[in-house]
Amino acid sequence: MSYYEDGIEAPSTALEAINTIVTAIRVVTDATPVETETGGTITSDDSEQDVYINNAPEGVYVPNYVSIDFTNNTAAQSAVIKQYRRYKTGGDWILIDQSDPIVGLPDPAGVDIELKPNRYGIKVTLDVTGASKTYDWTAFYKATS
Amino acid sequence: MSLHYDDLPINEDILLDLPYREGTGVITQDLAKPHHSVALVNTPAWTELDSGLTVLTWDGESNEYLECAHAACEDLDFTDGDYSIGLWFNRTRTGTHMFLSRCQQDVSGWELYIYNEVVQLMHHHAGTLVPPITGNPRTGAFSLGWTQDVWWFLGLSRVGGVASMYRGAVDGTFETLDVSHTAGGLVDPETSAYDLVNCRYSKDANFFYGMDWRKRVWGRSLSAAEWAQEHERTRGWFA
Repeated sequence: MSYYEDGIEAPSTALEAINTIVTAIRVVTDATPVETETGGTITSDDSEQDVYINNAPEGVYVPNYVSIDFTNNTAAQSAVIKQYRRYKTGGDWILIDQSDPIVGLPDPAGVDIELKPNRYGIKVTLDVTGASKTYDWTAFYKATS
Repeated sequence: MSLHYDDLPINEDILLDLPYREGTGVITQDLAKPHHSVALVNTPAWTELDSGLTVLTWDGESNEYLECAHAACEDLDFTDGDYSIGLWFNRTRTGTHMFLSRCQQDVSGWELYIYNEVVQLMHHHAGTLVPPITGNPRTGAFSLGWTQDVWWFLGLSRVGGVASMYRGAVDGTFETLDVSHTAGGLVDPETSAYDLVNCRYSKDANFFYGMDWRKRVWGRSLSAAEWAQEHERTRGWFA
C-alpha cells in the first residue's frame, strides 16, 4: 500500500479497493435469478404436444407457472394437461400431474398450472383430441443465464 | 431481491431473445414480448456444454436453419432507425455463414454474416448502386479477426450510416473493433418481405457451421458499456 504523508490512501490503492467491491457485487447480481416470461401458440394435432419445456436446465431454477388459454376449446375437443419432471440427469420423463379432460369452454377460460423448483428437466404438455384448435400459452420462471 | 426481465436496462427495446432453454425439439421460444415463433428446420443438434448451458450446433451441410415467417416479424424489418444484434458463436469452418438475415439480396432488408474471418453487415437496396462494391445495390460494414474454432461474443450496433462492432473472448478480453464501411456509410435498407433465417435468404446456401447461443435483436443501439457488461455477465458459461 502507498499513503500520502497525511495518511490518506493513494488513489491507485483506493481504486483497487473499489474494483474489489464492484467485482463482489457483480458476483451476487449476476447470480440473481431474473423473473422471465415466454410463450406462444400451440396448434393442436390430435397428439400430445409440448407446451413449455426445459429439457436440461443449467442448474437449479424456479419455474413458477404455465397458463393456457382455452377460449377456442369447444365441445368437439377434449384436452388434457400433463406435467412431467426428470429426477436425475438424463432420466426418464415421469408424470407428476394430469388434469381431468377439459371439454368445451371452461370457466374461467384460462387454466394455470403451478410448477415447482427443478434441476433436471420439466415439461408441460397438452393432449387434445378433436378438430385442430389454437391455444395461447404463457410461462413464467426465474433463470440466471 | 427480485429482478424482472423487462426492468433490466439491457432489455430495453429488445425485440428477439433466443436463449435455447428448451434443450430439445424443433421450436425455440422468444423471451422478448413479441413472442416470435421460431422454427428449427432440419433439426440442428441441441448441445450441452460442460457448464451445463445448452447451445445449438448447426452442421452446415444438412440445410439446417432457423426460420421466422416474415409476417410474424415485421418488427425486425428495419428500414430506418437504430438497431443492435448480438450472439455468442463458435464457427468451425471457413466460408460464408449466416448469423441472421431478413433480406433479399440486392433488393431489400439486412443480413449479418461471417466470411472466413470477416464479420459483415449488409443492407440491400433495390437499384441503388453503391461503389466501391463494384456497383452492387448494397451498403455494408465489416470487421476483421474473427478466427474459427473459438467462442466469440459479437455485438453490433447500427446508428444511421455507422455500424459499431464489439468482440468479447472467453478469457474476458473485450474490444471495440475497427469497422470499415462502404463509401457514404450504411443506407437505410428497403422493406423486405423475406423470412428471418440464419442462412441465405433463398434457404439453399450459407448455412451456419458450428455452435451458437442466444441470438438477440434490439430496436435501439446498444452502447459499448452495455455490450461489455453483457459479455462479462455471460462469458463464464463458455470457459
